[in-house]
This record gives sequence, structure tokens and C-alpha cells, in this order.
Amino acid sequence: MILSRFWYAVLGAALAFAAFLLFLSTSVANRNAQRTADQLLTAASRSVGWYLADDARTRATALIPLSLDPDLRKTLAAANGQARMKDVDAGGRAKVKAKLARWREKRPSGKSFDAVWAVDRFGRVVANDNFERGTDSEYFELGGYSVVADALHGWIRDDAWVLDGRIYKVVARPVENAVNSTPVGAVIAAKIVDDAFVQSISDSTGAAVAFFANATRIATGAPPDFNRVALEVNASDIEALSADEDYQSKGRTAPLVLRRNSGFDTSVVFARMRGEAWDLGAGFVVGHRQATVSGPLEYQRLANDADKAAVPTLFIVLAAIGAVLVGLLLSLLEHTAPLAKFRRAIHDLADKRSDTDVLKPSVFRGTFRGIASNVNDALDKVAAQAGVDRGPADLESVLGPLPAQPQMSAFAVPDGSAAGTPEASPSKPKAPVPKPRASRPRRRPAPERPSRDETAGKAPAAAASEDQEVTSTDRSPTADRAAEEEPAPDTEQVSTGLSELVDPEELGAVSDAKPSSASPRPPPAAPSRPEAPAKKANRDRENDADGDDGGGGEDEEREWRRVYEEFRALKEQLGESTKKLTYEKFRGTLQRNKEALIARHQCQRVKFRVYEKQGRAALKASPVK
Amino acid sequence: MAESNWRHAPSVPAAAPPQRRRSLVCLTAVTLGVAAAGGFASAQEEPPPTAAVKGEVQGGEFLLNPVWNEARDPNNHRYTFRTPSVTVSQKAKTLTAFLPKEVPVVALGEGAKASEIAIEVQVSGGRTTPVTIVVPPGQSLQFVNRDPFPHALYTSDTDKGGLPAQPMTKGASRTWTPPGPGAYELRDELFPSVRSWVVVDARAVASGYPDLSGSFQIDGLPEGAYALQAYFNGAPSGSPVTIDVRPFPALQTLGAPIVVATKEGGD
Repeated sequence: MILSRFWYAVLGAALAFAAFLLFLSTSVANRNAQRTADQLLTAASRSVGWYLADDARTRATALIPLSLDPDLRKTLAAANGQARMKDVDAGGRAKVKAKLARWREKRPSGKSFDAVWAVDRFGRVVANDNFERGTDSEYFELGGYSVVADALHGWIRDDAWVLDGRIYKVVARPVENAVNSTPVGAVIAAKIVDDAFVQSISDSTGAAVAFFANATRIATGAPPDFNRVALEVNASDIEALSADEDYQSKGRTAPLVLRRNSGFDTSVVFARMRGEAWDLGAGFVVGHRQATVSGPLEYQRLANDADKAAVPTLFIVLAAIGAVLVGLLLSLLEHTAPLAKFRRAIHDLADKRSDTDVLKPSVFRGTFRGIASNVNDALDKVAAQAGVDRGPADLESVLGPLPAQPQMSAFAVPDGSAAGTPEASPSKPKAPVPKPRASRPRRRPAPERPSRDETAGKAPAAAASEDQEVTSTDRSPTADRAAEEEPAPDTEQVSTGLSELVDPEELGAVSDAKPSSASPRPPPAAPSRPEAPAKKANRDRENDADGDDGGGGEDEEREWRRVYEEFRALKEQLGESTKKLTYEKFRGTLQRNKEALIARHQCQRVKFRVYEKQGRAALKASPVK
Repeated sequence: MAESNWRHAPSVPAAAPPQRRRSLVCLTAVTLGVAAAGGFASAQEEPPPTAAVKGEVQGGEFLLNPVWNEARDPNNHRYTFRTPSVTVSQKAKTLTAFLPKEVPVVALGEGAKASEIAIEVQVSGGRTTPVTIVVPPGQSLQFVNRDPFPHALYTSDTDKGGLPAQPMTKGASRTWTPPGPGAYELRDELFPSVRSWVVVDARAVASGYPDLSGSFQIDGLPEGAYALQAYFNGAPSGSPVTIDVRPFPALQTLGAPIVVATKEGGD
């Protein structure tokens, strides 16, 4: 289940990472969108400013014909000589007024004026058009305004007035009666900043713009899809500008959020109008409606068909399917398949027609291996309670009658002579087994086992019986189970390791001679490092098999060490555990079996060979006459 | 009833014919309520004989209007473009003071008394008329809005009897008496170009305003010695010129011009 769990961890991490990316993308998208909006706003604000400047020049140019009008020049020059306006020729003033009106009416759409004045060099209004309010006063004049004063001094310029809550875009130019002289007067024209004017700005610049004066929005122009109410400014908004350093010094704020709404913000840039309006708090504000994403789910609401089409749906689906398939495969490999295998084994175990009375833990992996061992123990326990001894099977019970000629390994020595000896009884099955069964050597609990010394002190029969137990033909279940558990350092443990080596079918005929397992064990050779890897061991083994019959003059101890090294190398090569395999244990077993075979076959010596059987390392013992 | 001999005679149109200048001066004075001598002359007492003094100011071209010259500075953001007309003389392009409204010539002497009638100051066209006025202590000023839109005049030192900002609708007026001697700068909350000065001087007997050419006339001066001083932007400008006014002739001419400025400036 490791891979499955790892896959769950991978999926969880992937999900968390995806969520992280979504939230991150939300923030990034908002930030980038805001940055883009800010750039657009700044550009739009500058565009509006440029439009106003260009518009002012255009309008000032439109005054040229008027400033060159002979009647206007004559009338203004005459007015300059009069102390009171009522002394100025009324006919001339009327004529000038008519000309002003005619000129104003001829203005093209989009460049029209709402008022036009003609003033003498004192600034007094000689004539005007469309600005009749109070202009009949003797004292009404325009000479104090800097734009008028400039025009009366020979300058052409513009201005922005705020009169009675309205913004007037004003242009003025001098009226000259002679070249290189002082102007006789000036003409001044004004355009009220109203919705129509601002809409023309919006149409030209594409910006949503509103003009404000006296802390009140007075005119707005915006693209059709822009809600003009979003540009509503109030006194608090204007008051806040007094603390804006950019606005105060440069006349334009950095982009700022005017209103926050659900799903969108209104970002704006405030700008001051040049002219007297600069000091009167009048200006314009350019706005942008910026959609915001409050969370990853908002994308669904904001996405259009094009956005959805841009999503690599096929890739995502394939990735999801791939993830599912990987998960299914891993669960199949780690859950379903082992479970099915275990289920079949259990079914076979439970089948009355089957000879199987034990599970083979080694064929299972992971938890099932432990379960199999526990099941076996449970079967032993139940059998013991029922009076059935499911103790360790002897070799004969496992292999059946042994052949007379020695041809088998020494590790499974069904000691017939020892059958009647009291020493052999503890491990010998009390109930005869009619046929070889898949042996199920019972493994005694470690605390109850005799120690290695105790085993050595037992009678040879008893020792032999131990060998029989541990070298029983079924190498797998008990051995594997024993290998999993912590073995006790005794003979059984040693044999457990070797028992894996034993292939009973390869054993030669073993005489009934009782192995003299009680003979003293030769002192173990000094531990030495393995001299050759598995290949070298195999090559040596082949050399031994081809020529020398066992080494002749080769020292037995050295041969056994070589066999040990070969055996160990082969186990490692086959991926078997060698953690519990020591030379001392190995040698002890070889010694016991050697003695048993010599006693049985009256041979001079026993030759051991290492070979592989069914993917596992095994030993073959051959008596040598 | 206290007698007042305050005389105020502003603006004469520049190009008016000389023979008509006196009448224009008188007419204007009456219009502004400053030279309403009959109004504050006692009916029981014979008014002392007065004479008029005429003269000329020089150096007016060196006086630069502060409002206009501030506005021409690009750093003050008063325009999007400002270009000269190539056919206008370079001299004319200098934004000099408008003498008929900005440079009073004041007769400083003994016996200055405030008139019981407020002096009327017109508010129109982005300025007041006159722009600078010199009055004796206790003289009331009446500001009249001649524009078709509101004004809100004020002085900065409102806590010391200055003029507080109050909206003044079309045709409305406000009367204010400066609290004492000194110079008071008037501003308009609604019109940045409005910048006027009221100078209170105990010696201010009468005043007159020059025309565009610099000629001026001060009417109603009782016999006595006076120092004629020009004022600009709320302060004396140039050196005063003394004159002994005699009862006769009625129009006496100042022997030397009054130099109001010598320093060049402007565009």
C-alpha cells in the first residue's frame, strides 16, 4: 500500500498546489489588471489634458477672423476714448454684437462657444453675445482676469474660469488696430464645460471623464458601456485630494481606487484644470471600471466563451483520467491483487478437498504475509486445543520414504534410527502422516526453545531431530515467517536459515544411520571477509564439480567457508536476506549433517555444493566414498 | 456732525481728450461716492476753500501687476498655452500695472478725516475698482458686486477686525471699516485674480488716480502743505512730492512729476 499512499499524498499535494496556484493567480490577476488599469488611467488622464490644450489652441485660432474684423477694431478703438460706456457709439456696439453672434453661430459642432465678449483696452465689455446677465452695468468688465490682461498686452492664451459653479474654457486674443502697437482691445470666448463638451472629449480619447467644481461633478462623458454614476465625486473625495502630494504639486494623482464594489473597483485619476480653476479646486477625473476577482470561483463568473475555449480541456481531462488510472492501478497492485491472492490461498486452505493445511507467508507481501503467519499460528493453536499435534514435520513425513542410496542433501535427514530414540521424540510427529504433505514445521516460541548450548548438550538424536525440524522440505512458510520474526540465537535459528537452502528432492539417499550430531563442533574458523563475489564463487564451484572431487587436499574448513561464501553470494544475488546468516551457524549445520551422512553412508567425507532452485539458494550434500 | 474732507478721485480713461479730463475726474469721483463733498460738508458751516492739484506720474511702466505676472509663470498652471502676438509691440507685452485702478496718488497732510459716507468699491471683471485705495482711519468701504455671479471677499487677518469671507451675490454689497492704520490685502475666495489693497493712513487727505498716460488730478484739497505719494500693491511706491496748496487758483499744477518706479521689469 506504500505506492497507493504515496499516490494519495501526491494527489493531495497536487490538489493543494493547484489551490495555491488558483489563489495566487487570483492575486496576480488582480494585481496585473490593476497595474494595466493604472497605466491606462494615467494615459487617459494625460490624453484628456492634451485634448484640452489642443482644443484651447483650436478655439483660440477660431478667434482670428473676429479679431481682424474692421468694425470690431474701429468700435473698440472708439470706446477707448470714452470715459463711460454709455458714451460709446451704440450703433457701433450693436454692430459688434451682431458680428459676435454671427461668428459664434458659425462655429462648427464640437467647436462652438457659449459666450463671446469684445473688450476695450480698459477691460470694459463693449459688446458680448449670449452672456447678457448683468452685462448692462456700467461697471461690468473683464479686465482683471489674467487671460484678458494678457490679451490686452498682446498675448494669446487660454484659461479656465469657474463662474457660479460652472467651468468655462476661455480663450482670448488681442485686437490690433495697427501693427507694432498696443492692442485696442481683445476678444474673449468661452465654452461651458457641459455634458456635450465632455462627451466629445470622451469620444475623442476613449476615456470616461467627469469634470468637477466646488466638490461636485458638473459634467460627465463616458463610453456607452461605462456607468457614469461610477464617476460621482463628493466633497470627501475632493477633500482627500488636499492631502495628495502629487495632486497638489503636479496637478494629477496617481491611480487610486475611488469606489470598491462587489466584483469591480472604480479606479480613477484626478487632475487639476489649468487656469484659474487650478486654484479653485476644479478639475477632471478619469475613471476605469476594473473587474476584480475575489476568489478562484470568480473566474467562472468572469470568463466568457473565448476564455473557456482557451482552457486546455482535453489536457486537463487526460490528466485527470491519468491520475485516476494510476490510482486504480496502484490500488489494484497493492490492494486488489494481493487480496485476491490471499483470498485464493484462504479458499484453498479452507477447501476440504485440498491438501493444503497451511498458508505460505512467503508468497504474500506486506500485511498479508503477517496475516498468513498469524493464520498458521491460529491453526496450530486450534489444532493443539483439539489434541492434534501439528508440530514440525519430519523429513520422511514430508518427503515420504527416503531412497537407500545417498544422493540427497544432508540437511534433511529423516533419522529412522532415531525415531525410537527418546531424544528424537519431541520434534517427531506423533501421528504418522500417510503421505507427504506440504509440511508446516511449527515454530516454537523463542523463549521455550533451548539455547544453543543446551542444544549442543543434547543427545545426538535430539540434535538430529532439531535438524529435521529446521530442515524440513517446505522451505517457505515457516522459514519465511521465521525470517520475519526475530529468531533466537540457537540451532533452530541457524537451521532456519539453512532450511531455506534445502531442497529435499535434491537430497541423495541418506542412510538411516543416526547422525552424530552430538559430536563436538569444530572450532569456528576465524571470521574472514568473503574472498570472492558470487561470480567467483560460482566459477570455483564449477571447477570443483568438473575436476576435484571435493577438494582432495583442500582443507575442509576452507572449503566450507568457500561454500558459505558461495551460498551467501548466491542469496544476495537472488535478493534473499543474509542478515541472520553467519558462518558459525552455517558451519554448525554443515558439521551436523556431515556427521549424519558419514555415519549413515560410511563415507569419508561430504561435499557440499551451492546451487539455485526456483529462485532461491540451496545446498546439495553428496557423500564421497 | 463731524466734517470730513476725504477726497477720492479715481480712474480717468486713458485716451480721453485733455479738455474733458477734469469733468471725467469729477464724474467718476461722484460715481464712486468718494468725492461726495456736498454729502459731508456741513450745511451750517462754510466749507473751507479747496483747490485741485494736477500732476503726472512717471515710471508706471516699471510697475508690474503681481496677479498677471504670477499668472504668466508656467509653474502656476494658469494656462495650457500662452503665445505672443507677433504684431503687437514688445513694449506693450509687459504686464504693467493698470494705473487708473492700481496706483493712487495720495495727498498726505494734516487734518485727514474719514467721510461718513462709505467709499464704494466695485467688484467686477476679476478685480476691484480701485485695486489699491488709501483711506484715513475710520473710513468705511462698501464693496458692491457688479458681476452676474457671486464673490466672496476677505482679508487674511479676520481675527483683528479684518474682512471675513462671505458670499456676495449679484448686486449685493458689503460694508467694512478697516480696524486701524495699516495695509489690508483683499482676496476673493471665488476669484483668484482678485487681489486688492486697502491702506489706512491717518494722513490721507485725498487721492487721485492717473490715467494710462500718467496724468492725475486730486480734487478738494484744503489749503496746506501736502506730500503727494503714490501707492502700489498696498505700499508707497516711489518718492513723495511736496506741494503747498493755496486757496487759489482752483487748479494748481505740480511742478515735478512723481516717479513711482525706476526699476525695469516685466516681460
